[in-house]
Amino acid sequence: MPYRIADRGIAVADGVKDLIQAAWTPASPDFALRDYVTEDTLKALFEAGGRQVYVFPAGSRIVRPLARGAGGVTIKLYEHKVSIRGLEFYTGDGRPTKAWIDTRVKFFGQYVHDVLDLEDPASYLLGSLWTETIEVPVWADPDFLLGSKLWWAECEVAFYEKA
Amino acid sequence: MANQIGIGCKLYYNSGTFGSPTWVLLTGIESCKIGVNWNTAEGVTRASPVVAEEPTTLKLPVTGKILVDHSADYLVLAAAAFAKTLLDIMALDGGSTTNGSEGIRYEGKINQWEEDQGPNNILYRDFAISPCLTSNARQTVTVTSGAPVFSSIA
Repeated sequence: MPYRIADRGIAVADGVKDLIQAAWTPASPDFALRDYVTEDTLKALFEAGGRQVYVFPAGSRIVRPLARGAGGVTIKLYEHKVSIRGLEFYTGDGRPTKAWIDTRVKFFGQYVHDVLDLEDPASYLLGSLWTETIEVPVWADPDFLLGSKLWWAECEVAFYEKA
Repeated sequence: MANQIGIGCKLYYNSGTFGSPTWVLLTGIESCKIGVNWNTAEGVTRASPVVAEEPTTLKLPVTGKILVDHSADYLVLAAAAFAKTLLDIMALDGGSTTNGSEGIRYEGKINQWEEDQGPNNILYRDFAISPCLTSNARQTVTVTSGAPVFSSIA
């Protein structure tokens, strides 16, 4: 069966969402979802409340051929990048407190970064993808915190697989 | 015949007998090199300052890299590397049924099986195979009418 890179990228994002959900076990109105973040997302979040984690495919590429393979199809090293966003509106009075922000930062580290740092072959995502790089460029975006009382965190993960 | 490129080259081992070979493709090969390296004897006379060289003995190594994927064909090489067992190999610049493909075939043994285990490496084995002592001829190969045709290297 030919390797469909976009299908695979979406499947990888689905797998990431499942991993986060299994570790976190969110209760309504909290949830993890494989979907893209739009203005409607923020509007719905504001109305529903709770903490939400969005996961979506960010990009894919062939890193390089690994081996000649057979039948004219080489064995390649593929990269699939996945973006994760953590979102929650502060519903208390005044500005979000340091303790409230710290709790969300620790949550994001524990249930996103740490869960997705896959290096044991037994735990490879979908059985074949390992974490090549993982980065949390934003733990709590100050502009969103000050302007909208919104906790906004970002994580970017690059998974590799041979196929 | 179109220009040949490395990714289209093939390295096989024989799972049958020498006289009736069954060629199995090694799919995990990343790169491969066929060496045809003659040792030479120098012949110099007073008639000329030029150093003349005559080929004498031939080194015929096949070297390359194979992906460490623990597939069946990878394990054939891995086992042969440590057991010092004979492998009947055929290295071609195309497929074994593609007319015009050419290369060499001989019975050899693995004398290099190195693995660079750097922390960020995709693992490969660097291997080297050289002809071993055997009664079977070392041969050049040209694929003709869809099958390898062998000629002994004199």
